[in-house]
Amino acid sequence: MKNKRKSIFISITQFVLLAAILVPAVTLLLWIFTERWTWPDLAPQVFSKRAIFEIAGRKKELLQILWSSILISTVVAVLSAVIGIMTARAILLYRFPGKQVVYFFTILPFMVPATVFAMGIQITFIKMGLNNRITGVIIAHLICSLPYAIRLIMDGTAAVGSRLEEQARVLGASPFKAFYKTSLPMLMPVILSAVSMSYIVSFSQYFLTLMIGGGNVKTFTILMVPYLQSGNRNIACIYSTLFLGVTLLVFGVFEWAAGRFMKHGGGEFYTSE
Amino acid sequence: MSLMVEDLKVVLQKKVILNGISLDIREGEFISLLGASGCGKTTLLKSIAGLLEIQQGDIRIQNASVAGIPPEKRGTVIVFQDLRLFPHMTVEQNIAFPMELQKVPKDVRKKTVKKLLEEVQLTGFENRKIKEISGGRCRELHWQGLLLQIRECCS
Repeated sequence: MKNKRKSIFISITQFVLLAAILVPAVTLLLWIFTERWTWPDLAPQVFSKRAIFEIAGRKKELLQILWSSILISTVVAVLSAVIGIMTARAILLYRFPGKQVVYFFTILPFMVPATVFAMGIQITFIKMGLNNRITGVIIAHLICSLPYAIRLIMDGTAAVGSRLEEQARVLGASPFKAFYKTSLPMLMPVILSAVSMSYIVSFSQYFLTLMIGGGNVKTFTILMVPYLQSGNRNIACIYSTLFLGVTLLVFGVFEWAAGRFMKHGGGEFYTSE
Repeated sequence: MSLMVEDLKVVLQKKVILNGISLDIREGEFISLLGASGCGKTTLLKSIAGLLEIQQGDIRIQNASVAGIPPEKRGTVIVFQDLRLFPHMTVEQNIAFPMELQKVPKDVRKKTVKKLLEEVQLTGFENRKIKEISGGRCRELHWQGLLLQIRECCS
């Protein structure tokens, strides 16, 4: 009886969660083809392909912006992972003065509101000549995504430790080779999670890109947000669907890569003792 | 191979772990180091292998100081208490690891691994993952991999 009640509760929870994801997604898709949908009707009154044709007319510009967004976010994601690995290793495996301060700095972007951060960094970047440039946008995105990457990789590094690297060193491996041959394969699933997380953080940045990019650096969100604000629902829904699609695709690719890696023996944090 | 440790001092996390340790092991001698848990046996071995920085004293292998020489160039091998086999590698890859680092040709590696596995009656285990074999067999494999490195170092 208790088990039956438990399974009903689980089924209801699953249904609610699924509905919470599917209902907005279906509404989004419906709105792409909807010309008029007024209250209190449950279904749209007039359908049209106007928004699709409008977007298709700007296909070249849209693809260019999409590619530049993907490029910026990929660079940010890869840099986040590389810096994340180095920072996590420095904090966990090495002893140096001011270690706690470095650790505190890694979580600082979580505490400072994005708008405050954007205002401050814009002034700094203007002085440095990085404003309105793609390099400035990448650095600003990197600062936002690094805490996620560092925290994720720190957990993995703490679990893997330096035991296997020590063994590799006494067997004749250089420090880099010891890391590359032993810790890196084990950390790969965590690194891939950090990469996908950083990618999403960068891909979703609007305010920061607008402030630092100054309109010169156009990303997908810069193109999408004005439509969301202006109430042009059809166009906004197409952009949102594309945004969702790219995000899901990136997650899919990284999940697939992580899965493949696990299948080949990577990501096992604990040796058989 | 001779080993000499002179007035060794090792400090870890502001705590003195080893202080004034001296020992002299001559060629061909077999020494057992006994002591209570946490007395610093592993710290001493790690210091000799170059895995830990020493604050004072000297370590001499074959009468030459190894201070500042990285672990991979010292020719010292440790059999750690906790078996440190590489879980993402197969049995063959684990044993052949030192040879791979020395860029030994693949066919030579394969032949050597086969011979070593025959010695401990583990033929046919080449492609198994570490988690697929028992603890006792893991220990045998660990020894075979390390023996290979010791032989290389001594040759």
